[in-house]
Amino acid sequence: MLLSAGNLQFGYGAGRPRSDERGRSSQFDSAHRGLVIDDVSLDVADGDIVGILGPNGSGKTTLLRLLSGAIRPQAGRVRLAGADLSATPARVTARQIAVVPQETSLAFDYSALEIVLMGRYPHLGAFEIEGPDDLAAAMRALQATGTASLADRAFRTLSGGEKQRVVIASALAQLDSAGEGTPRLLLLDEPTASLDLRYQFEIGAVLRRLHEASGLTILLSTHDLRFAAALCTRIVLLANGRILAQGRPSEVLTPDLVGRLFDVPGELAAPILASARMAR
Amino acid sequence: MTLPLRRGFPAIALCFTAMVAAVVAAPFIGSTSIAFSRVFSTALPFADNVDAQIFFIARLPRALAAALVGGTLAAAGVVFQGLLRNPLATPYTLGVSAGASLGAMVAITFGSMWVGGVASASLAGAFLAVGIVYALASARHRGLSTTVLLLAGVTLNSFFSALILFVQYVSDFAQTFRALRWLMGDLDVASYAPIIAALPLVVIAFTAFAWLARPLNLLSIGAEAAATRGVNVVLAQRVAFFSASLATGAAVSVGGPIGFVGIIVPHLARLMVGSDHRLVLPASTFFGAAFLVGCDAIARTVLAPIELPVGIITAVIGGPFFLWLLITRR
Repeated sequence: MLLSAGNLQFGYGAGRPRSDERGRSSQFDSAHRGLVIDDVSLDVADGDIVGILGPNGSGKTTLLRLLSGAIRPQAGRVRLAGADLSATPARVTARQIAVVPQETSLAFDYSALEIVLMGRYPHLGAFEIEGPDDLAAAMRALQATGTASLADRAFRTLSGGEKQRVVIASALAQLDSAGEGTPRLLLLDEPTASLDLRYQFEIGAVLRRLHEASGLTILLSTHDLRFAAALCTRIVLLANGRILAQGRPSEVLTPDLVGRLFDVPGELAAPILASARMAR
Repeated sequence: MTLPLRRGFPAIALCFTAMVAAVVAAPFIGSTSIAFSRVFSTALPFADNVDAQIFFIARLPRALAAALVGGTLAAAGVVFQGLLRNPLATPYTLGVSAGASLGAMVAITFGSMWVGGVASASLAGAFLAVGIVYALASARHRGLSTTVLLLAGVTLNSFFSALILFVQYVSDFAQTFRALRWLMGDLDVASYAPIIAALPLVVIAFTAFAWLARPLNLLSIGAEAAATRGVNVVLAQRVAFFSASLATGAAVSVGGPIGFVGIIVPHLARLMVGSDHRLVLPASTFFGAAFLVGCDAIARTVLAPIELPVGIITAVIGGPFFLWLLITRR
């Protein structure tokens, strides 16, 4: 298993849960204890595109942060190819897991190429300057995301969709290592949340192409049913920090489950699901 | 495709040349004119060569002090701006200069009780301010909260300013005059000693800056984005805060709180070389040195024979520039 999370628990500002509180499990409990993520277990197999689907505030971003090692769970464990993430140095993890945040805003102006080259950080020594190999990795990443023509443009002048693709390219450059067979995982937090329909298709197409061309394993969070249905090979439904269901899209994207996930009547979800199946 | 970093090298070479040219040229400007050929003449022994004495003893220390202070303040400005993710931050934003000024005021007013001199007192004041701000910003966080850093710095600035006014109120007329001159920023160092005393601190700070350049690049795309690319964000923020504060404290102990160098120069450097800190830091250092040497030359000559404190010149240039920056910044 490429990435495997077991019984994750996390609450902002919450201490370690007392042992006598564990094991109780009503929907109310997690909110009551200030837990954002409560007893979440999931596996990502090599070559999967896993979508974490849930409404706003269900804990998707927190779960992604736990899975990338940005924050540590208060209970439970994340393993990357069998190795405990919290015991792995950040630079080593960074060569295997790259994260694309929801939005990227810069404090200073950089060109798209400079942003992509920043992905090479974990491959370089403290005083080392990028070499031809790093530049080649950056160019491959720009090519793979269709942004090679934007290389010299200032990042801030790009459209939302172009920015997102450049940040994906930066993540790809980060994962581009000489050693074959190293596990690699691309994490994306709501990659289409602030994009209009055209750019949503664009990002979806880029991700699918990456998956098909290089077998890249992808884990993304979204509240967009259609985006998840069109792209993912596995879907995890997350509600109130707990897993409602997980499995293949055809198994979990049912009117009943989706209705419960978003707290809407099932018959309202049905037509959206029908159109999502068509998008596939 | 060439590495973007390499495109900045010519501009850095240019800034370096400007710095060297400024340091060599500035001592030739002054009330007594000296000749280049006589200064560097090997025919005359140094003891008999008046031109060489004026150059090396009277004027070169001042030019070197200007270069050291200008380069250090500019580089510290770059690091503070990177740390706070804000191009409008200055080396003085977090209260270092207010602490340094309070230390200097105390030494000037109650000088008889302090044996170390004004420079060391200002350094002690700077360390006090840095300690307070750091304690506040790291109290309830695993790392440094940049928001608390900013708020604590701004608050400490005004609090220390009040204490400075109090110290001035209780000091006599001559002391107040001396204190005021110090606060205006003055590079009349009179010997190489203050430069040599500050040098070790500056060297330590710049060693840290060299290591910081790449982490600062990544911090500007966001702390969490930097962390997921393998940057030790907490360490980088701490090193940035302490090294930039150390550099600022050392520079202020030599020349007083000379304003605006730490914001104008980094901004102009970014216009020349882009935003990569591996380029902005050396460009700002060399250009900052050249800039302050130039400002000091203006300060010494514009109302000759009166020598203005250089802080007035940088403020006159820097104030309007800062406002222009505010208006045109995207």
